[in-house]
Amino acid sequence: MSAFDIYIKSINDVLEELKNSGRRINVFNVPSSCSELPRTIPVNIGGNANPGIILRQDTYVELGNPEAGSSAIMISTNETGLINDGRITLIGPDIPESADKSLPFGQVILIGGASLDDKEHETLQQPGFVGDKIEGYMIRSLPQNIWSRISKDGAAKGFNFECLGKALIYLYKSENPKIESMEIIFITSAKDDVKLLDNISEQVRKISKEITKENWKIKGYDIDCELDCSSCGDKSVCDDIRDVLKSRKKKGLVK
Amino acid sequence: MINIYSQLMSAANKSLFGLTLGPQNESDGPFIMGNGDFFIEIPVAFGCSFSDLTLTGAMGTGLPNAAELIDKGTEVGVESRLCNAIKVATYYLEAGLLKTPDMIITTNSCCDAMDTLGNLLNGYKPWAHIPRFNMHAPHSYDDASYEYMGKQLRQAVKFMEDVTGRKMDMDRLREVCIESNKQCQLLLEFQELKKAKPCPAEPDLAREGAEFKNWSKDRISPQVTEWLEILVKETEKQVKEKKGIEGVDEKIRFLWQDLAGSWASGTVLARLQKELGAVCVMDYVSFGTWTPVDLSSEEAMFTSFGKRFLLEDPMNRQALHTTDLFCNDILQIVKDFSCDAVILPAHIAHRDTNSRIKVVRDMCHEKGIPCLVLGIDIWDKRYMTPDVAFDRMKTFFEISGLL
Repeated sequence: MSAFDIYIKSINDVLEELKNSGRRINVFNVPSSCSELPRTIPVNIGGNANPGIILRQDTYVELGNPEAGSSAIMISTNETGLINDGRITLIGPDIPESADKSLPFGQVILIGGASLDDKEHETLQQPGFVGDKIEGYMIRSLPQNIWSRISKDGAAKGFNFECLGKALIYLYKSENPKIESMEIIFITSAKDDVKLLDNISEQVRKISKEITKENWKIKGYDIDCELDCSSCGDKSVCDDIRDVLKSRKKKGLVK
Repeated sequence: MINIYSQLMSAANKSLFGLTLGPQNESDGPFIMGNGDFFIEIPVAFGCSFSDLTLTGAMGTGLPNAAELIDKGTEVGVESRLCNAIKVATYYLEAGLLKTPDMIITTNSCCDAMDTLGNLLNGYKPWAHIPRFNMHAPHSYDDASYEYMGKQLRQAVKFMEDVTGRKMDMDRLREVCIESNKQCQLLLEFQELKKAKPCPAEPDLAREGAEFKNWSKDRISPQVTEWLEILVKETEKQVKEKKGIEGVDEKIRFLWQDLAGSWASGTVLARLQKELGAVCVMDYVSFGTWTPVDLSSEEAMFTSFGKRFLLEDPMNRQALHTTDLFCNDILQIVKDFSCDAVILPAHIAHRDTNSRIKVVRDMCHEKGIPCLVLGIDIWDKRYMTPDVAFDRMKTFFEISGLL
């Protein structure tokens, strides 16, 4: 799980760059335990908290419309010390001041847990993880981008990025007790600022893809191959190769 | 009773059939023929007609004499298990029923049958003198692939310019892309509305809208934008009033993980909806994943075209890439659109998809999602009749406890 650690530093470099270029930055240090968080959030969270669709006319602000710019990154690490638990950083305008606007949206979620493994990283990355669990917040279905809406009702209740960050921390931590620390960064300042995340996002995606591939392999599938192993005519050849590798590994001939 | 949705459906169908089966050169400009999707904004901006021969064949399987056309295609001597849409297209070609194009632009494609059609098109002797260009689509989806595919499309434009002796007006192309971006946003808006329970409108209108936008006589025109605006506005009203599809008591929502083909929508899917309240909220083709064309520079624009072509064209997305992407899309659709079940139609000619059946079944089993593999021919209802398909799906819903 240390494969992503280098990108935590890259994200900090992006933050530094934006800070140095004079962007408005707000940092919120929030309680990070699941028992404290819900009391501090002005909207409902949890299963079906937002059962409806937020229509165009009921939208207070839209985040990450692909035309405005959008990027989302989720990184997990076993080095919990790399993450500032409970820190939410906002670069750019907040929700209350953005009525009827379509803001660019970058979202970075950093997760730390000493016992988190690859399988859990994959589960946490599953699409629709947050889904309909935050009142007044709707994530639209567009793979590889994050595109969402905040309702007028939600905004009237005080929905802002501090609130969104808290809700995300609560939802992730309640879903997986192995998560020990979480930090969230939102960027809404400009499309080009959000674009700074693209390269990191691409690299993270490549590593995640490798993890997924390995997890499928454990189940007996090679997802780069158009066949599943049990129906492949060459299965016996692959099995032999695996046996040879195993025995060479035992003898210490390969790492 | 004719409601607004029926009127929209009929307008789109008229325009769709008008192009694919009517005279193939609707505009005064040159006429290009291909074996699959091109980036349609390009011929529209260039002022020429583009005919996708695969689509022409697919539309043929929806005609009253479909069986005869399919059998004639088989008699041409192509491989017997070849997709029947392609067999009909082959028959149209070999029987000399197609208008001679001014250029041929083919591409290696997501589907072996479409590749075969491309080879037949390129080897068709009476058209040996026609200038041709073959694009190479990589089977990957990353920035380098989009850039590569974008360059291929740029070269295709250069080829069109060389053949016709006139230049592509890049400002016109930009204008067309602005309209197309607007239409994609409206299609995505309609897609969001389909998440409402009960489903507020005939879900197939999403597919109809996407086809109207890309494959009809009026493609990318303001008429399509107007059509989509009405669709979204009417459906927003339905959502606000918490109304579902007229005459349907929604009990089950399911994903049909393939093309709907030429007969399923009007037969088995319509019956399931009406008789059992089982609504097919999504098929793979209507799952829109379009990102807007980046208009910041010519290079960015073509790279966007490359991305749209490789990853956001529904059948390319479904078949050109990894099993992981295929499975993730299923999970996302099931979660976002509250699907109770996944149906894998397993169209007999979709060998790429069919090689994934076991993986999808295992994944659905692991996640507790009921999953049925049908094994139909989406273009030829003689292979498995609509009644048999209906009975199998009804039984599946019953034994899964959904009915």
